[in-house]
This record gives sequence, structure tokens and C-alpha cells, in this order.
Amino acid sequence: MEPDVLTFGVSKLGNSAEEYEDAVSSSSEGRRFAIADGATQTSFADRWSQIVSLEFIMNPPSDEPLDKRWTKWLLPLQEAWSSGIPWDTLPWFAAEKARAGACTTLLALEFTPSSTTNDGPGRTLWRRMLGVAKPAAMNWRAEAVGDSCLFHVRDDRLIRSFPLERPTQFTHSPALFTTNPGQNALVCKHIKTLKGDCQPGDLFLLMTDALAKWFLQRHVVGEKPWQTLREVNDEMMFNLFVIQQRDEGRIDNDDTTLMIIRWPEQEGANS
Amino acid sequence: MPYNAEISRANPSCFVFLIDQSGSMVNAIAGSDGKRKCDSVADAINRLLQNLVVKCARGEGVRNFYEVAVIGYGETVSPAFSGPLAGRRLVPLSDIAESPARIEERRRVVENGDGNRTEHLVKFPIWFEPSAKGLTPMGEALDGARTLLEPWVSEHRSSYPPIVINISDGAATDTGPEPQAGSLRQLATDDGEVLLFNCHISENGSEPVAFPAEKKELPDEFARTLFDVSSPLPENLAEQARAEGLNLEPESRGFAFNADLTELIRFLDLGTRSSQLK
Repeated sequence: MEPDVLTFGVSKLGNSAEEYEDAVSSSSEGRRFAIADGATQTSFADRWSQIVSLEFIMNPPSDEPLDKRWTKWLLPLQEAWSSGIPWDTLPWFAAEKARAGACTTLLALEFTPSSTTNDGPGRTLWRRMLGVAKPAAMNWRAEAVGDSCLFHVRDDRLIRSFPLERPTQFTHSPALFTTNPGQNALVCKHIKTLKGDCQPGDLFLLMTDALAKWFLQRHVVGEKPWQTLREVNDEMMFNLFVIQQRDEGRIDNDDTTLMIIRWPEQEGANS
Repeated sequence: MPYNAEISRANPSCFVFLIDQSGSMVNAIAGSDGKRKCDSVADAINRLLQNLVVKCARGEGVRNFYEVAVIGYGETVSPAFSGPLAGRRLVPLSDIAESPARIEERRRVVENGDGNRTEHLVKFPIWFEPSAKGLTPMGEALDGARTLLEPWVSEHRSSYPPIVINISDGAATDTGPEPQAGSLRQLATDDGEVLLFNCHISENGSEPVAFPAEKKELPDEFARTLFDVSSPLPENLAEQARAEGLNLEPESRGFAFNADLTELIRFLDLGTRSSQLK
């Protein structure tokens, strides 16, 4: 089973498309997904967010203790970022800014085939016999640094919101991965992890902070913002939606990125 | 008015520095091992311009989030950039980045990520040279800032309002600063009135007072006058300062008295920070 995946991105109003600093990546077999938001206050942040999100897809961190696995994983990426900067030709101010490093968020999501369900086999067997449980097709694990978010929707209900759960949790200074070795140790100790199961028909929405904040603001007032987003099926529709929400003051003016992962329904899954 | 406009290339803001260049600026600043006040102020302004340029650098260029003017007052009241920018008043930040008078190399101690410190040679661009001659026509300088900013605020109605930072070591020798400061602070964009911050630098080593909320603790009439003409700190700036451990009251003003060099740089740094920068 493979999900349908759609991604959309709009630059901050006033910036050119070349100045877009978010990044999204997904594996061809539909198992790993990443979204990253390069910090606009830093230089060459677009390059950093692309490296980090793509590397999670190509070569995710190995199974070591949480803080060590990310610190070690980041080291070659920091070298790759630095080797792509044209240091010799940068004017003094650009070189000083680049030496301060670039920063990015990361929301990484991985699906793995399920051998057991999260309820335990015995209990789920009874629930299936009673017709109230679907078989879990997949397990998933998400890890996050910063304020890019994952929303898991099932049966038209939001069942998980990660790593932020309330619109008031967005701040001007989220945790970020930086390109400077030595500055990530503390961040890596605070990486958040969440696991869950995935059933046929489930919807996963990954988004950077401006849209994620909008999503949670709509949800706390009783709306179902995923219903709006899952109708989006092309870039122009997404652009129009974002422009309209910005005009109405509902979405902050920032690079805005959405990834929709839709797992197909299965015939007879409820039986 | 809220002081929350986004600062962007389409919606830039503006800084005006008014620098006392009177004869007394040759005396030593407190706590500076005999360094002249005019040299300390020049270092602080050059450092600040450098920080501002680097803050707004992206990739290989600089984004014009700000326009900047530096006006000296002493023997004359006039634009005080040196080098290619000499004589210019409001200058976009990218022109400042590309046109320092010269670039020196200086030693700077840098904290490493591992807690150790190492000394590096760093570029130190110079846009502004020290000068100390004549009286203290502070009123005329504040009037000059108003003349400069009057058209600016009408052309940038939606911008974060200009911030004027006045650095002086003594009392005005003309009719200033009260009437001129009052007129200057009446200028406004839709986001707020022009902010006027005043910084007194000192040659005696008594305890500095930074961002006071009331004037009763200030030592003399000159200090109380400068306090009276200083703008209250907008809440978002005050919040950032509190986050860094500064103890600010709700009514704290953009004013520092008897500032030493460290205090001066901290004062300027706070004045030029904004979470609205995009």
C-alpha cells in the first residue's frame, strides 16, 4: 500500500520564489517524509533546510540514543552546507553572516509495516470481532525540532497534533538545527518524538509554522481545517488559498508549505 | 499605537543617529582606560552599523530593511558619514554595506561552542570618524532630524516608525532639547510616533542608570530633561530586553545616563533590535 502525496509551497509576500527557504522531501516508496523551515534571519538557510530534509529521506539517522543519533547525523551535513558556500567571493558582510551559520526546523516522519497493533494483539482481536477496530496497516514515528508540525486525521477527527498542540505555543524562537558543530548538542537533547499507528484512509498533514498556526487556530474554534486543505489539489489553488488567508490576516506572512499524505481506503477494512 | 509593523524591503524602517561632536568629547569616557569619548562613540557607531548590515545580510547581498542617517553636531550640524557616503543623509543599508570609508582588522575574542575562547582577527569597517570641536547645538540637531524624517514618515505610512538615537556628553548650548524633541516625537507613521532614545556618556565612573521608569533617581536637571524627552520603550522591545535579563518596568524609557562603553553598546544594540524584522 502506498499513499498519495501532494506538496505545495508559497513564498513570503515580498520575497521572490528564489528566496523561498522551506523544503519538503519524500521517499519514492512513500515511507519517509520530511519538512523543514530555514530560518529567515540566517543566511543560506534554503540550502540548509534542503540538505537536512533530503538527507532524512536518503540516509536517516541510525538507531542510537536520541541525542547522539542526531548530533552524529548532522556532522557531515554541516560540512556539506559549508562546502557549498562561495566563501572566497563573498563580500565581508555576507561572509560574517554565513560564519554565524544557518538554522532550520525539521519534522521527520517514517512509516514502517505493522507486525502488531498498538492496542496489543488480544485486545484488538476482541475489538475486531466486535467490529470497532480496523487492522493497523502501518506504524509511524515522527521526530521534530522546532515548530514545523504534523497533524494526523482519522475518520474526520484530528487524533494527533505534533509537536505543538495549541496556537499559543508558536514563538519567535523555536529550537533549530544549526550548521555550527557544537551548537546542536543542547537542541538534540530536546528533540521530540511521537509514535502512532496508521490505518487505511488516514490523512497526515505536514506544514511549516505559518500554516500550522492557522490550522490550530481554526481547530480550537471548532472548525475542521483539514477539510479545507484536503480539497487542495494543485499549486494555483494553494496559492489562492494562502493569499486569501493572508489578506484576511489569518495566516502570518511567511514561506508557507504543505505536504498532504493520504493513505488509501481498503475494501473490507471495517469487516 | 502598536509598534508592530513588519519590517521588510517593501516596508522599511529607519534609524537616525545624532552624535555630539562638541569639544568636551576629547575627554576620557568612564571605564575605558583613558579612551576619548569621541573615539568610544565612533567605535560604538561603527560596530552598530556593522551589526545592522550583518543582521540584514542574506546570501551574497544585504536586504534594505532600513535607511540610516548619522548626523554630527558640534562646530556644525551636518551628515557625518566619511568616505564614499560623505555628505549623504538617509542611506539605504545596502549602500552602507558596500561603501565603508575603509576596513580595518581588529582582534576579537570569540566564545567557541565548547566553552573555550579564542582570539580572531575580524574585519572592522569604518563609516564614521571621531571628531570633537565646538559647542553642543543639540536643539538644532533634533530639528535636523525632524526635517529629515518629516517627508520620510509621510512616504512610509505603514512602516515601523523611525528610531532616533541621540548620544551626548553634556547639556545643549542652544535652546534644546525640549521644544525640538517634542516636535520630532510628534511625527508618526500609522504604526506609531517617532521614537527618540537619548544616551548620556560620562567621564566620571559613577553607577550608570539605564532605561529608568521614573526620574527621581536621576542626579541632576540635565539628566531629568533628557529623561523627559525620551520615548517610553515599546512593549515588544521591552519584552526582548527582559528576555535577556534586563530589569525593565512597564514605563521604562529609552534613556541611559552616565553610560560607560559597555552600557552604550548595550543601549544601541537594544535600540536597533526588532522582532518585526523579516
